[in-house]
Amino acid sequence: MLISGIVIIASVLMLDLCANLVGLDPLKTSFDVQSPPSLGHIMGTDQIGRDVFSRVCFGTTFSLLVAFSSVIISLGTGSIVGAVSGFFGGKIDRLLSLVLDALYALPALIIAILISAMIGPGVINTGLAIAIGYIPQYFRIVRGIMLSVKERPFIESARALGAGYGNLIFKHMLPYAVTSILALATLNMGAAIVDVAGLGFLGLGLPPPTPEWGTDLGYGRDFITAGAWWSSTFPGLMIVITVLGFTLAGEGLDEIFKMSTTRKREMI
Amino acid sequence: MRLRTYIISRILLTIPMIFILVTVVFIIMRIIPGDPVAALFGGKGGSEEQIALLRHQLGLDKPVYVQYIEYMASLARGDFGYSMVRQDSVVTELATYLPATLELTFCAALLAIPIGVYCGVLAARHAGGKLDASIRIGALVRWCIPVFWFGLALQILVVQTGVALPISGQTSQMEEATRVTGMYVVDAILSRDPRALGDALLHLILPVLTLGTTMAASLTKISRTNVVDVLGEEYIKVASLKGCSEDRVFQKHALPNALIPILTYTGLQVAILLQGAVLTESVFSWPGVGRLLLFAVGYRDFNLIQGCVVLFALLVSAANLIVDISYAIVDPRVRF
Repeated sequence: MLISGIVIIASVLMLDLCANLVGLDPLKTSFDVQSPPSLGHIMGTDQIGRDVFSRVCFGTTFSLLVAFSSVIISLGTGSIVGAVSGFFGGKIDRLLSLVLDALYALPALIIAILISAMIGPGVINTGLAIAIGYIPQYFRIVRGIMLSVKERPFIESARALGAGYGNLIFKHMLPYAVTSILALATLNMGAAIVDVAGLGFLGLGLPPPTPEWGTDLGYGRDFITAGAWWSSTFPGLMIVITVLGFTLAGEGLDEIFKMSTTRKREMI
Repeated sequence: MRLRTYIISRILLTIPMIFILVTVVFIIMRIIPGDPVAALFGGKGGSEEQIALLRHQLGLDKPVYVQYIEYMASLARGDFGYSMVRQDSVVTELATYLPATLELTFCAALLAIPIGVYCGVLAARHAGGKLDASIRIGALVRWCIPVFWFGLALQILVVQTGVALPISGQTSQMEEATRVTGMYVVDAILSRDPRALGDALLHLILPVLTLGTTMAASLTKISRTNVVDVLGEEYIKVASLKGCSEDRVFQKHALPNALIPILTYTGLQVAILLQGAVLTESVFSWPGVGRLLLFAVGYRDFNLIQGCVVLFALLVSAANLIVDISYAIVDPRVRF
């Protein structure tokens, strides 16, 4: 699973790289409006004569960039807050758990719609809007691991040797969460790509004329009844392939980590 | 603990949960740097007097804690504020649009739960075989297809093949039944109008397929995992060794135990179902709360946005409550 996932992700990235090297232009318009797939335009052209293939290739950069930034923001915030909450416990832990559990109950896309409506479009803004909904997942994982590691003897020894809070959390405890966080982040990357496209589709993603799969798909939908299926079909197909890559890789990682944890336990 | 006591304490626990959810929504809307009043002017910027007047009308010139207390007090009275764009109370707007969302999500769940659970159980029974592999791949691929693209693909398919299916809306205007509940299938049955009923059901097909299959895909995955886990338990081996037939072991020992976590997971799916509903409603021009939210976002209608999100939060809490109560009925261990 992991290998097929990585192969898919690598192929998508290669396509993006090749498009950059060949010098395709996603913004160039032509009089050849809404022409179906042909040898000249293998995925046809859109409503203002731009080559759909170029836009699909360049869309990779923006979609992945936004999704990646959202994963980094949620991973960073969620892990730190989770670590602090699990480490210190008590009232802070109870309060943070309550707030983040509430956030967890709200659908991530609805939070993203709410936030992007308030702060407007842009790579970081859209990334931030999507990130908020994912923070609770990292919080829960890291907090849980912190609670289980906290009581181990080596933490007590480190404390006795005079290790500070930062040292204890970041050097001794957080490394235990790295594998779980990595698997979750890979899975979330797939979900974030869908969210980026969803926001773009609803007109709340990156501003035009930036090539972005969801936005292009959304613009193309108005021409479906006229028979122009290509301008919304191909960006969608690209989303499915990329998400499939990240989901396979994430589940593959998860399986490997789980197996190694069970093996370690069996050895003990 | 008796079942009744458990249900009462669970209902009481929902109140602080809703309180926190609403507070979180309030905080998100206040700490984010965007200014709702500036947004209302669409970035063109009104005159200072206009902005000040609007801030006053919306109550945004008061200190945040006063705004919070006032907001909570009005929510407790069932007042969600006034929609500037719709010129109507937010509650009336929500009440108009909620039935369509409920109709869509309920029908989607009705399709997804049996299909998802059945496929998952079937795959688990044949774990490692060809049937298992094809069900797993099918569910994985469907899970990776975004709701909105699946909906569009269905629309393209219908348009290209010329199948006579409506591709948008909740009813045809000519066939509309008298509005009683707002759920047109129910309304058609209530007014004993078979033509309206047929029309409403036809309109439901594509949106329900779109939303339902998404949920079915994730239910398949989780059901399979749970059944496979249970089949690996010691007591299953004991039952087999005692000479129980394979079918009996499966039906009497494995299935009931595997279904309990699946029930919890189905409850958690409500959040995903509602998020999918927003996109599905947008694709199929379905007049539900999701479309109302997008409308409110388009016009930067602060109170209406807040109202829609709070309503979503309430629906999720209600679903969790129902799941927890049914969990306690199914599995008495929970109560102790």
